[in-house]
Amino acid sequence: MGFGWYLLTAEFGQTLTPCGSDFANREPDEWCGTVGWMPLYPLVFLAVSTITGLSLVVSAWLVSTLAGVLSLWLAALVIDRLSPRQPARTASVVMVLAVFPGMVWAHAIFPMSMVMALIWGAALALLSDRPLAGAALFGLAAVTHSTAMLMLPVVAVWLWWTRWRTRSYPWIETVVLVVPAAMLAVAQHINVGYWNANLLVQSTYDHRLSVFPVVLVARLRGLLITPGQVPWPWVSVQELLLAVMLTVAVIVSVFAWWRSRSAISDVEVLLLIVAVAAWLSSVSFTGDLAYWRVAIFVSPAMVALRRLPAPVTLAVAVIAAIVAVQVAQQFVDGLLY
Amino acid sequence: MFHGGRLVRPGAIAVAAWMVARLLVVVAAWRAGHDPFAAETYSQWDSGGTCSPPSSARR
Repeated sequence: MGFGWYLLTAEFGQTLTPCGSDFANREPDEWCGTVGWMPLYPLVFLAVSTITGLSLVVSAWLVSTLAGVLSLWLAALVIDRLSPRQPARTASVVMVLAVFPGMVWAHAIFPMSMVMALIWGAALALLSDRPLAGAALFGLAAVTHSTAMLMLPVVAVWLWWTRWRTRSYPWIETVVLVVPAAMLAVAQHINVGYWNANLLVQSTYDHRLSVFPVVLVARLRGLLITPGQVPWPWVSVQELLLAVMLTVAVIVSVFAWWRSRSAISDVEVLLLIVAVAAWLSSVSFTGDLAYWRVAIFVSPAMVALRRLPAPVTLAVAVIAAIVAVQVAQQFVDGLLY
Repeated sequence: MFHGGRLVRPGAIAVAAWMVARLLVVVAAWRAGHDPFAAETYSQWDSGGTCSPPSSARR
């Protein structure tokens, strides 16, 4: 049974060491350690474990489960705010979110459900005209998973773009947005002696930006499925489904915007660009990046599906569920990591 | 501000959707021959990958 970095972080705190001989396939002068993974999720389940007396594994599972329900609730509230009094359409979109590609990692000891609860919470805060709370929640998402860290510039640009028109510059929101990331850098310096310790470890795994088409072509090659391949590459099917779902969401949104410029709120635009940015980042990084684990970052774009008839959206959910259960089975079998 | 109905109905939708997804995960774990109700079943996200912790750190 696996014992992952988040459980190690909760047990031993932030660590940074030369990889040495303990780490297979790594050069001795490369950096290894728990500091390569974001600390908020293990901090939360460590707190739950300390308070309740439950084991770290059970506490982590509990936090993932509660955050998963919370994320869907917040998403439902966001959709209800965007299109009030359409319960069938809200329910069908929430169903899509529940079985979204990569959904098993929201049920696993992994920070996906927690990071999505923070992102949907941020969206709800922004819809409720509470930009400071929205910025704070996005900032916390950034120290929950590194993909959300990549979204900070996107959110900052959006904040300035939406406030530019009224000349009410969001200086305070921008500072609040980056405070958790700054605190992480300080914590890393105190704990392991390097401000950029997280990046040092991530570079060990060759996680770095590359020329976009090169990675995209490599990924498309990975999508090629050979007949009779064992095990059947369900993550490739998931990858294809993810691209199709995002494309449909963008087309539906652009069509709605084309019909009426006021049909799409600023917050819906943010959710769309956050999703597109997450997808683009997944096809722009090299290294041993298990992108299928973080597919759920694309799910905010699914708010656009509320514009489709509920039966159509439910059909999308059924297709997503069929793929999700196969990927989940390969996950519990230890075929995916 | 929200009134009760606008909080409860989305909450009910969320719980129902989560339970459906959970059921799918339980079925997947059961089909794979693992205990679907053990938290450890869902802790193997990096159990064989290149980002795995060293074997000395495992229990």
